[in-house]
Amino acid sequence: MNIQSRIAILGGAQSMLGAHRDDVRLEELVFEAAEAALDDAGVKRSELDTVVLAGSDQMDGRSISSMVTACPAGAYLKDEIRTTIEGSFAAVLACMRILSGEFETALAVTWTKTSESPYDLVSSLSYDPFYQRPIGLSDVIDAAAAVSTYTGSKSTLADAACSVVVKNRSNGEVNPRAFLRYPMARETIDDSPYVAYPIRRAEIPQACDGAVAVLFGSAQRAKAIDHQPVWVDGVGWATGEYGIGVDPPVHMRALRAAAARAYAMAGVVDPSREFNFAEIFDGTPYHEIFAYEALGLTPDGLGPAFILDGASERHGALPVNPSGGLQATNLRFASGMSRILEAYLQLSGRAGPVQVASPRQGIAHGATTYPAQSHAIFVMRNY
Amino acid sequence: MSDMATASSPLIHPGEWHIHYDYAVGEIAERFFTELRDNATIYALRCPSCKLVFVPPRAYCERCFVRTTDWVKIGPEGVIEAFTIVYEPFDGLPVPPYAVAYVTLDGASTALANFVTDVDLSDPEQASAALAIGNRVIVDFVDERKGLITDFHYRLL
Repeated sequence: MNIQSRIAILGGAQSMLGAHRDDVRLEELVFEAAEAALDDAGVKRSELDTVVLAGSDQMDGRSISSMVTACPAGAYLKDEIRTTIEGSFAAVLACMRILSGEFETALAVTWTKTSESPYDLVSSLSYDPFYQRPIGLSDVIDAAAAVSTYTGSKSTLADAACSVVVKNRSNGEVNPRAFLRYPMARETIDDSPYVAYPIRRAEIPQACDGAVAVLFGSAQRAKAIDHQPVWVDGVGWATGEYGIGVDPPVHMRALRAAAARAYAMAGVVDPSREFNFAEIFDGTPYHEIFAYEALGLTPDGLGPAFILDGASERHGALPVNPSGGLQATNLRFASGMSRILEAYLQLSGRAGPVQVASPRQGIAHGATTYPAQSHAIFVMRNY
Repeated sequence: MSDMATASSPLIHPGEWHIHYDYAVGEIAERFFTELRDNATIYALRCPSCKLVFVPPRAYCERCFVRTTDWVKIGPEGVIEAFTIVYEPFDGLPVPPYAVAYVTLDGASTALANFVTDVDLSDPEQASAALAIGNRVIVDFVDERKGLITDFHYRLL
């Protein structure tokens, strides 16, 4: 065993997406992604050392749903480990396993078949039965309450949120991998009713079914693949309070802690200048705006200006969610892995019509849906 | 703090989850269930690489990691691979006693679980002898089939 100093991404892919992937069972959906990711890397299942899974039992409607998805993810008779937190944490675990030196290849697989379950009900069950459920909370409701803690100009913030949706839907329109491939007009958002003030219906993206798989590998293994490997040089993750507590949620302290660790590991000094793009959690546009600040892409208080000035546009100074993000492809539980996949494709020059010009370094971000208690950050490079 | 109430018994807040799921059967399993319902026939899928015949059918071979392509008609007879007789009631499960066996149907590589009917279960030792591993069974289809796994059961030969 040799402790490794670098993690490579060898390949990655997603299944076909759809509002209702009724043509496949859950395990067949998972197989689609795992098969495609191994094909992308040119790696056979026999060369796979470990498989890392992330799934949500309540969303999947199966107790320990990884039992049924493990083998279609490639795990038959393999070392396999699973997590029940958001999909990007399977990538966190896969990275750790590569760094341990015990594994040359680690396939991280996650999925969401949201068409099979009542999402809002499942979400509300994550609230504790004593103090929260009787109040009628859900993740969107809590996210809306979180937005109210913003201390800056509310009208500017709402305008910025609208702009984020327009931007990401415009990016998704040209991304062949996106689910919603048509734009959203500003007027449509403005006319859209409030779900929970100030979050409007048009700001919560329609969910889709799909699975995402990313193959991580050692530096040694990266030499053996045909195409340009991408390096994960910084990984950080952190968990904040359960529900809204002492910290104003808009500060996203857990995201700041996760980013600080990832930046320290990768040697990032000035995140506002060093990244060529960012793929981040935008389950609502407000999350993207607050993340601009928490990630240090712009100073605190200037999140709304960052989008309103055009900096995060696809052709701006620091494109954010050039893929279209969750606003265009809301893979729910698998959204973080989707961000990693899109970041990987950018850095390997294979992002297609949404490719940013000659990127060298970017970040991918996964978050535990709307209250965003836990975050994972990946600093990725192609050099 | 002496005026605070003290609990005389543990305080319990009851809770229940009622979640409705719409499990997509998928095209592969839909074909299995449709053949079962319309033609009283059991179909499996064979891996083109290792030739294992999987039932329930699935779109992939998890060993070779290739897509399965060849539909194969299996049964109606088979051999008991594993069995048990349920004597105590389980929450949400059928009223006991009932016998369940994993049976490898002729032509299949994998065992498929279902009820075994027409066995006197009153004496566990005698019933278990009748259901011994290696004994052969035949598939009995029910008259009003609905495209469900309970459209058939096993009967000892």
